Amino acid sequence: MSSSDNLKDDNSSLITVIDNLEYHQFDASNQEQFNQISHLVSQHLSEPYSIYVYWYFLNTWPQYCFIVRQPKPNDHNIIGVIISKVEPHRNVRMRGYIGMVVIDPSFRKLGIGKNLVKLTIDKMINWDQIDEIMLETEVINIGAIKLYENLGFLKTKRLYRYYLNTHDAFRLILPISDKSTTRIAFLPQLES
Amino acid sequence: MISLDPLNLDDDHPKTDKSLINNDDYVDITEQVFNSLSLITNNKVVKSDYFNLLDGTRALEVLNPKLDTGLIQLSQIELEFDTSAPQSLDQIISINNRSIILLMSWLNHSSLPVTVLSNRYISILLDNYTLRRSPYIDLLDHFSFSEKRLPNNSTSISTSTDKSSTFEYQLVHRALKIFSIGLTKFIGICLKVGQDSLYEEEDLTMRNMNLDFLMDVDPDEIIEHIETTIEWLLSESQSHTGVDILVSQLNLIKCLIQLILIFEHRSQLFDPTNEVTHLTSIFNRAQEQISFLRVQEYGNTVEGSFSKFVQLDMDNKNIPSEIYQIPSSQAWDSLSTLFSNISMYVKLSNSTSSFIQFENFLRFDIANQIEDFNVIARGFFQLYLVRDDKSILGSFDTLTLTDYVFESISAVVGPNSTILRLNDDKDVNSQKQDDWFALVGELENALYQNLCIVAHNPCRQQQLTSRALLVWDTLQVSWESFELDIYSTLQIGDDLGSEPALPISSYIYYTKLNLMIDLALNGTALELYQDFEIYVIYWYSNYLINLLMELLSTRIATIITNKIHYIEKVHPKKIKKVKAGPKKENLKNQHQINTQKHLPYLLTIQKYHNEYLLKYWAALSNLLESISFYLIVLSAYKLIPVFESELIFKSRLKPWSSIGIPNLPTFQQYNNSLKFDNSEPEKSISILNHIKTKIDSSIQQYKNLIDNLKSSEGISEFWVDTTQVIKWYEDILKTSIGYSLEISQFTNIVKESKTNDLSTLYKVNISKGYHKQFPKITVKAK
Repeated sequence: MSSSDNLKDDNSSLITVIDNLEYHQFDASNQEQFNQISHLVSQHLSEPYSIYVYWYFLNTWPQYCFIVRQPKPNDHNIIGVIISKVEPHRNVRMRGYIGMVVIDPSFRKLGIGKNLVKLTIDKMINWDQIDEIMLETEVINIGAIKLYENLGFLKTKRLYRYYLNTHDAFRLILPISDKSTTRIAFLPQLES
Repeated sequence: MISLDPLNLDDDHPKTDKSLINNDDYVDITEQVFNSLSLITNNKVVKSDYFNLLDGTRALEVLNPKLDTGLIQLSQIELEFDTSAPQSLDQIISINNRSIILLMSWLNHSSLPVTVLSNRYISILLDNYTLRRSPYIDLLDHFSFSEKRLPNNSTSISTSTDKSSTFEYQLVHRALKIFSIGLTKFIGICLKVGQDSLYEEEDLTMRNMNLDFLMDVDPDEIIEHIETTIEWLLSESQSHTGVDILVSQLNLIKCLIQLILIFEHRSQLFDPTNEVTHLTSIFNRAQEQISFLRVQEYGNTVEGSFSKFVQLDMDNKNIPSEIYQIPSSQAWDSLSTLFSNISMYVKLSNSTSSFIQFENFLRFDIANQIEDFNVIARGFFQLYLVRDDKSILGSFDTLTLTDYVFESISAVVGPNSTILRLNDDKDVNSQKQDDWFALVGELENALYQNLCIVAHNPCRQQQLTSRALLVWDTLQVSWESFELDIYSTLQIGDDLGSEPALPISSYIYYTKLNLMIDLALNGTALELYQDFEIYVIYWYSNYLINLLMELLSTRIATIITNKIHYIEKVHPKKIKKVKAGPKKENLKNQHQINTQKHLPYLLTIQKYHNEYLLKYWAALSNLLESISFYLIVLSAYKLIPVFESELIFKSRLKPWSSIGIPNLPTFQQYNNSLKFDNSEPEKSISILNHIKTKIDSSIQQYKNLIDNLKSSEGISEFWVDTTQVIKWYEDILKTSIGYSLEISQFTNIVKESKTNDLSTLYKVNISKGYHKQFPKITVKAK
């Protein structure tokens, strides 16, 4: 039995199909999905993450993890994932945070990353009425920076030697509401 | 798969000598762990409230090869390496050389376990010291290369008691030991400096594996032992070739430790005759050692002497990594830079003769160059500049922070502002005096924070500048209200005829505008802006520059002129009107101070403003306006986009959004600024010619500025060293010339094309320019 057979064949998690690829919401009860996601991330991101980081995101905000798979009868393994969260930021605005976007190298340049980011933005706005979305990316990752800038993200900070590989990072923010354009000190506290 | 069998530490280490592992030292908690796990039923992560995502990203994970240092495999040689065994002179020299390279590797954004602590001698020395330290025993007796876990280890705690040892044994237990102690002490100094003035991980990784890096050991005692060891080595030099290299290595370590002497040096600020030869001789001696040592040939270090042992063996919160070692040439360059950076700022800071020179030194020699500084030179600078007693360069006896604030104000609006003497005015009630003290205190804090920005990495400089804007904006409101109140109720304060001059508020506004412009243009240096954002930033910066020029040339210029007028005309008339007596004598004495001290300074400031600041801002304004116009034209030809939504526009200008004065431009104003009709090519060409004329005038302005900086009769007196400021403007000059050529080429494209939409034929390319605040903007055929 291949590992992909362990992935739940549950159409309830299917969100959309684009270019013959299935976009699903992560199923928190599916251990095999968790394993495949952590394997995909550890294979292709430069930062090594402990299991705690995966649990932190996937267990607290499973609704903001989306996966991409080829439809059956192809290899049904996960070939792309986006992991995000939504939380109040300094208790003045709701901030979405895109933690990781990973696409299997053989499926890159097909717009999968862009679709996953757009899907996440859409859900964050609809489900949590976020004020902004934030993320970090390496300054040398021109492809990722272009992708985000084309979606309206602005580089707001450069973070010195942010990654373990000593590269700087850019912090990018997509403003959604007016709150995002006001400095924290001038915003009222969120209602609890 | 995790085994439930009792834990046996040699299970996965077939190569390990079983005799080195004693399972009795460990407690098997497997059962307890699994029992605890069975209690977790809700699939939730169990963690302390204090354990956040950041901790999580640094967390170690048992049995994950990428994260568990316990899985590191070591060879038998590494496990059995005896640091107490004798070594040859060549070997000692090679070990020391590699240690120096690893020190600089650590300072090149790495961590101690994968660099210096991979040296087995240093790790065992520190491990033993951390366990053994005591104030009651002699320095060298604290340190031992003895590894108690090795069978039959030959050990000597004290070098002095081992009389039967060979030269090779002495080399290890005297020369290598004191070298290692000295190097470790320097690391301890770096860690302390790092804690006080650098950012953990982004500037310096300070995780120390719970080892004590000789924090409490007196550096003089170590230097004394180094000198004694050098004497011993020199006495042996006749019979052993290569001793001179080892001596040089020890001298270098001595110089590194002696760097802390710069914190003890107390300067007389703005006195160019400060004596610093005792410091410069250290820097020169260090450079001599570096020049000598970098050209020597070194053999390989003995196997096992550098290893991942420490990662496996000691309290380790780091993930497993290979030993990180930069090329030796890079290490020597970096070490040389460390000394030359410190040498430069010690010399220059002690040679400044005025506040203006000092401020220009901070801007052009430190803040603008900071990315080329060695990280330790940066950290040292912050502590050297502002001492524990908050004095600048340790000048507390002669110049307090309050004095420094007043000097800063005087350099903008001239000296002797009456509002700054309010604390001496008996007619002012205690409430007003308390308010005055509180406001001066706030000003001190704000200026102190500004001083703390200069030596940080460029990214932090930007963030701290953004934060400082809020402080200076609030200060402006508070001081303006106070100055108006004092003027209207007590008629105290300089005036401009019928209205208050508000010198302090003007100074604050001037400082704030400078910070606002820095924040905007340095964002370009950090590559934060896309093509269409560059237009907004330059357009907005130019708006701020024009406000600054207006402030300098009207209100501030009038304040200074009035002060000069008062000294030359008003005060002498006052003296004449008063009858002979003590009051007249007081006025005469004041006149003498005015004419001998204040008047020359006012004329100097006037010269600085008129011949440098206003010309510099005018040149920059011209350049920014030209590039902004050029970008509008490119936008009209659909080669760069524009802000499509007000939300994105406001988001880009968010750092300035809370500033009360000046107001942020509106989205409507932005859209209006972009209006340009390119339907008629002749009109476009005419506009482009106009832009080129403007940028050519900027080129001439920069040439004049550079000539003036190079001339002894020009404005060079405002810099203690003009090298960096001239380079700064020469780079902008090259930028201007580059833009002039680009505009000419684009004019030709417009002439040849018949369309007002060039997006299908051409594209705009943004790349690194000659100056960090000005990227190259090129129109290229697709």
